[in-house]
Amino acid sequence: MSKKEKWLTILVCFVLLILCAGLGAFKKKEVKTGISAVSELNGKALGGVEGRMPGNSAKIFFESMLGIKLSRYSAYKNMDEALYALRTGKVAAIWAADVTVDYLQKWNPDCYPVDTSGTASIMELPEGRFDFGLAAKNDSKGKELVESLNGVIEAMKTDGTLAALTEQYIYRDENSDRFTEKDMLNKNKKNALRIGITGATQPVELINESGKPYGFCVAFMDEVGLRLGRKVEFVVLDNETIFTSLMSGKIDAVFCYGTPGKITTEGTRKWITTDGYLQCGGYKLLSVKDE
Amino acid sequence: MDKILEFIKKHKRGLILTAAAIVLVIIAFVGFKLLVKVGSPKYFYNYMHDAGGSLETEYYPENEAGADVAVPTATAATSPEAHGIFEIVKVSKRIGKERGQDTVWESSYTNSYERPEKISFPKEYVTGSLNDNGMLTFRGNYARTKTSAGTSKITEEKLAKTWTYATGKILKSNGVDYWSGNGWTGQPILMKWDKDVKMTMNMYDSAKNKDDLVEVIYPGMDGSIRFLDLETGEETRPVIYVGMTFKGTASLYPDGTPLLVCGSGDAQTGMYGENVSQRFYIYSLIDGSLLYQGGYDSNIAPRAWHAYDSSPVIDPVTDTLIQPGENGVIYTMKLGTQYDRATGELSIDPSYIVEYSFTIEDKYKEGGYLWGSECSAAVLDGYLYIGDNAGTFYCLDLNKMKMVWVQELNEDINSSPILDFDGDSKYVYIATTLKYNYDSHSMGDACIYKLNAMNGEIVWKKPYNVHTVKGYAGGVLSTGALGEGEISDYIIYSISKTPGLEEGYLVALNRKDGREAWKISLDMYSWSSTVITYTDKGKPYIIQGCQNGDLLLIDAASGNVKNRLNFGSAIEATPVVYGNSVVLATRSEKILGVEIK
Repeated sequence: MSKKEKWLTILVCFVLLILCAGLGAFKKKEVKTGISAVSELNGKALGGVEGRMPGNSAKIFFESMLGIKLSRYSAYKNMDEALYALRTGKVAAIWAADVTVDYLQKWNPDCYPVDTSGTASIMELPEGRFDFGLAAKNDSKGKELVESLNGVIEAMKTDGTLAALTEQYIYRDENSDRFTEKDMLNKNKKNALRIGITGATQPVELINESGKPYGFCVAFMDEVGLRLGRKVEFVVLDNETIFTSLMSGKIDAVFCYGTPGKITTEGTRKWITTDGYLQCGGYKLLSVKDE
Repeated sequence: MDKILEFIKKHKRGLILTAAAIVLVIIAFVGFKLLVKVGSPKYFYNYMHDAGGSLETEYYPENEAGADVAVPTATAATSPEAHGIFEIVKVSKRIGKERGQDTVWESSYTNSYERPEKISFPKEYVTGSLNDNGMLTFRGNYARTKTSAGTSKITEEKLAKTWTYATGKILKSNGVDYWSGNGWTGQPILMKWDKDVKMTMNMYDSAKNKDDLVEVIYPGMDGSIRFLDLETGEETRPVIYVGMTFKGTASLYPDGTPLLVCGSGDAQTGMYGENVSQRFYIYSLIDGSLLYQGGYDSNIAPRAWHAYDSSPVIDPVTDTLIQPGENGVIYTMKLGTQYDRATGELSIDPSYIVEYSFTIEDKYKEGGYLWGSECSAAVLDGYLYIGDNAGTFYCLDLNKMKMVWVQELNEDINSSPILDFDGDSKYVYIATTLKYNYDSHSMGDACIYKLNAMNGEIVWKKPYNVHTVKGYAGGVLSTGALGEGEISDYIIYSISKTPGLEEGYLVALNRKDGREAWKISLDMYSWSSTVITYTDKGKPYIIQGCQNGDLLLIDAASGNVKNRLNFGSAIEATPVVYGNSVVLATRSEKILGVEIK
């Protein structure tokens, strides 16, 4: 082979190499770790949106609920990050409230709920695990707010408004019902009620591409604002800072929080909750289909 | 030498400063270790000073009068009226459709309740073994007197570890700490199932085919119910994951029906900050399925804390469950049990629930004297004997759900009552923990009492001056053990945190007058209840677990320690003995088998 032919051969091989790399021939195949049963989570990682519990505690919590040993528990800032971690195989499953898993499954066809039968009895409670309600600071102002909110929630339950809102914005299979702040009927301008939302508990609170809330949280607070005669302002925060904001007075209430039910631990809490506006049956797990 | 002296002279100041710094570091290190040990600087005093220990017994022989009557009746001093007792009884009846369909309950409140089907626990029944096939409840029977099953062949007077099984942990309701392994009172249940019953159960084939299998049934602090072979420690069937911690002792249905009743001891905090209330559970041991969970939202509970450490009582004649709660409620529930032994079909259908609670105005309050029972109850005839967190010990008429007599001891009662009989005379022993009446140095008296079971009067009182530390109380948390045969004069108790902060006693008290027959000083105190086993010749031995992981084998007649094994971690739960086999558990997430040689 002449010198010219050698260089030509090298050039052709180099071009082929570039083409192959571009087509992903050398790309490491991502292995999805989707699971179909809780037992398959043994030795794998579980993820979820940051909650009120430290990471190590959350790991122990889920291990005892599911009767397994996890390799790791990962907390994410929001559900989008948690879903990304699921899809990229960083975690084998993510947890969420039942209403959230049901919603995510509808709008993410590659995801599916994991069969949790055979897990701890505490996963199946006859009375529901908790209600979602609003949380306020445990001071005189917060107590007054909670009392007035409870009155409104009770009235909305009695006259069927709450059921209608829940049906339309949480359980109905339509994503086009994007009730935004612009659609609010409440035009009160005074005595603003500042409501903190994170978008972590979809579809109870949803945040659009522009970082604005929509759906149930807006429709619900619109009704509340009308009945209380107060302006409603939404403040989008993340889970890490929302309670600090509540304690410091930057917001008046957190929209979506688990009502603690009967206080079974001695001592007072720094925050109080309203009666629930939506019952949560329990936790569910979401996994992703293998490619 | 000259050079050394010259060096010292030259660097005198530096050397002094260095030495001082080293001394300060050592002091800080020791102080830190001490602080970790005692938990708070306020307990430094307790670490340095002994409590008073054993104090003089007070004996009131005149209060033995009336102990031989057939029916309990209060005296002027022990009448509920004299103590300002206010009682509530709630009766709930199922008025829903047929069995298995939607349940609708109708509730009413009454001052004059009469139970339609009378409950009665005869003396022979409560003092026997409930079931010859095992240990089906805390202390083996409802007089709380049977601490071992069978007899032990003891030749070497030694303990030897035979197997170890790993358990786990679960989050506490504070969402940060966790409950690990098995703890107070946490006695395992033992059952030797008949072969035909085993064949219908979800046991592994190896367990089904083992003819002499004795099954260990053990709800643990890690929220799981485990099933092990007493001999080998191997699992006999799948673990039941409940998800709420168990601290107390479960009960099996006494006639051998494979129903297990157990109660959770702590609430559960979840990811949304929710608080799931404790409850009691009823499981089928045919297939491990949950048949019932309840007691989590009583509207007559004076206290929000709904824990269930008390070992349930079950009357198989009327099919009634009796479950005391730490919420201040005593539940009685007609179970509606249906069991077909041949097919293994098992179900319950509760239809009639009676709840009882009481209070004393101006005494009970959150943050003060608390309602609710952590100890187990004793029962005799139609009466229940129990104490509560405020130190109120009382006799309850189960067929009227009305208090008969009351004795206010004003200290926390964690030790379970023990019924004792002397001819026709009936007595009950009870003991207290130092929780309320401690002095500025966190010291005070905890006492062991003998009461006249028919009228509640104190026959004798044996006080011990103890330390108490928040979270780790001093006094008597274990349940005593009544002696038989050559030690039939004794009742044996362990007392915690005396005279030293971490020390304790094991004492044999004379049943007649409460005086000490012997006393052992324990290197480390014990919350684990004393177990007595007997050889076939009637020689008694004590098995005692301690907070430092010691398991002691003690000659019960003399108090001499014969052997000691250490397991490296607190033995807080109560062991159980079956022949020569001991099953115990530690807080370091282990269940262990030990052989008495």
